Amino acid sequence: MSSSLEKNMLILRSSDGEEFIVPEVVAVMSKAIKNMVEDECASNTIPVPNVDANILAMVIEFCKKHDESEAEAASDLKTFDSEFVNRGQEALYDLITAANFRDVKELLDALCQNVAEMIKGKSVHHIRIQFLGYQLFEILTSNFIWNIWCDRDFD
Amino acid sequence: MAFNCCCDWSSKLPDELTVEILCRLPEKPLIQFKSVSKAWYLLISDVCVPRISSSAPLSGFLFRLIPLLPFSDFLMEYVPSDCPRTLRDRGRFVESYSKLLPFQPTGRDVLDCCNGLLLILHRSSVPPSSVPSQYYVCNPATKQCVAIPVNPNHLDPICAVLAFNPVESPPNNTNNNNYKIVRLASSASTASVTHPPELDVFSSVTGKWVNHPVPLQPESELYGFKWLFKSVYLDGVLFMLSYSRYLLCFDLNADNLNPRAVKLPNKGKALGVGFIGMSKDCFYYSNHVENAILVWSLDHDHQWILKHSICIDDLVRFHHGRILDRYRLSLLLVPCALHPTSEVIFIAIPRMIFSYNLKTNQFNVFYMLQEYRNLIDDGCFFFPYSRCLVVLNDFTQVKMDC
Repeated sequence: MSSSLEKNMLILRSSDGEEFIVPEVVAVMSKAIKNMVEDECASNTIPVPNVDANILAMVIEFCKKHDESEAEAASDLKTFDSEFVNRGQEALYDLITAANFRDVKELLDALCQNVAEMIKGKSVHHIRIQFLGYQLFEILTSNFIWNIWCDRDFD
Repeated sequence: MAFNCCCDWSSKLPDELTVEILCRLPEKPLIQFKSVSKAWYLLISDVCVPRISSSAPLSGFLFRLIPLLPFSDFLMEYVPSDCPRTLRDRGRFVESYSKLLPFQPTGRDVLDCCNGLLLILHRSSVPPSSVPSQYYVCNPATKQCVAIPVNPNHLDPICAVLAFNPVESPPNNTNNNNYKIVRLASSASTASVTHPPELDVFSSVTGKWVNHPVPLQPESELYGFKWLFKSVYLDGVLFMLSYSRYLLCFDLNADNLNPRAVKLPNKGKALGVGFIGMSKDCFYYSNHVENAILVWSLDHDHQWILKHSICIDDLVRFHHGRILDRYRLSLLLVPCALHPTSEVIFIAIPRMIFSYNLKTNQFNVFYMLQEYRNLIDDGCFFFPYSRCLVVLNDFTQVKMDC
């Protein structure tokens, strides 16, 4: 398999066994993979545990776009980023953990920025329900205690 | 429904990622979200706020003015760094911290400003006073002001300095503010070998004043001289200048303050005692020596390294010649501030503040003062200000709890 592979291509294998053929320049946008390649401890096939095919495909799409568009206008890339990260909470969560685990800085930046945008206009109550999966009982009690303990005027 | 929500981010997402997200929030939601959960409260106040505050951009400068009208007191003026020539925020900043205090502070009362916190002294109205000086620490960004417990020995209103760095948090303490106030207990000008100068240091962690004798070497060149009450706080060390041309270093984390005196660089004939400042975590000393403004940095072995030399004749020739020419030989022509994050120094003469870019050698008027005001002349009370969101300990409440 590896003999038929073009030079400077790597195979990434997701946690559920699917394989992706990716140019090395794209793959090394992940610092974790870069280190493996540099230490020459990787064969052409690099396992990417903890990341399933669905998410891995997204990460690769992001890295490819960023690799290609180095010369492109920064604003184009920004639009791409904001569209790319505009996903449901669960996919977003998986992407963030994947980006963190594989150490893909650009993706992590874009994702964290997106989550920050999502939550910045929300009420405390909303955040508790939507992001922290708080249950009704906790909300009632925590509301009471927390509002007493740490609410301060802030301008 | 809340019950079948599948996205319990708080328990799944590692803290480092939650911090990454929270740090990208604007100030207001960030502070509001402290009440989301205990985990978020701790992450925001212990990690996010110090991180954001330590990298906060320069907001502006706060400085002391002498009004030229008779019978009026010193004033403070604030100039935002992004648009110094507009009148927009000018009075507002001074008004905003004045409102926090139980009295109306004048320009003489603002003693120091360090990484977003202000140190203010309430002078007793009846001299010679029998009431000890009351110090206040203010955070204009969070609109908080705390009264510092008084020390009964502090009968004369002497200057003090503030040492604060938002990223230094005390171990085992959920309150992330850790500042110190340093003031002279007995002055170096009356010090002798048997009675070395003493510093009183207040720590916000303990809430107490502690007296430290600070014997300095060589005594003959240090005792009998005043100190300039302008300080720089960097990596736990407080730097001050002595008029005998020494740099004084006190390690505020050491029990005995580990006092040291380093001779100032002496190249040619310096005019005044000079200026100390900090930029990008590096300490600088600057002075007007003969025909140039020289800037040195201090390395770890206490050796001075000459970094920049600005020729005053060039400034006079190319820029604002008539105004600057008067100050060609004046000890006023030294920096009054360094830009905390870029290579720009600020030079103030009584009616004007200039900025000088050390990389491009560009020299510009940064700000011009109003007709009837004058900058106080030793550059001592000229502070860079950047917003800091830390919440201060309230010492009166601590007392009540005990």
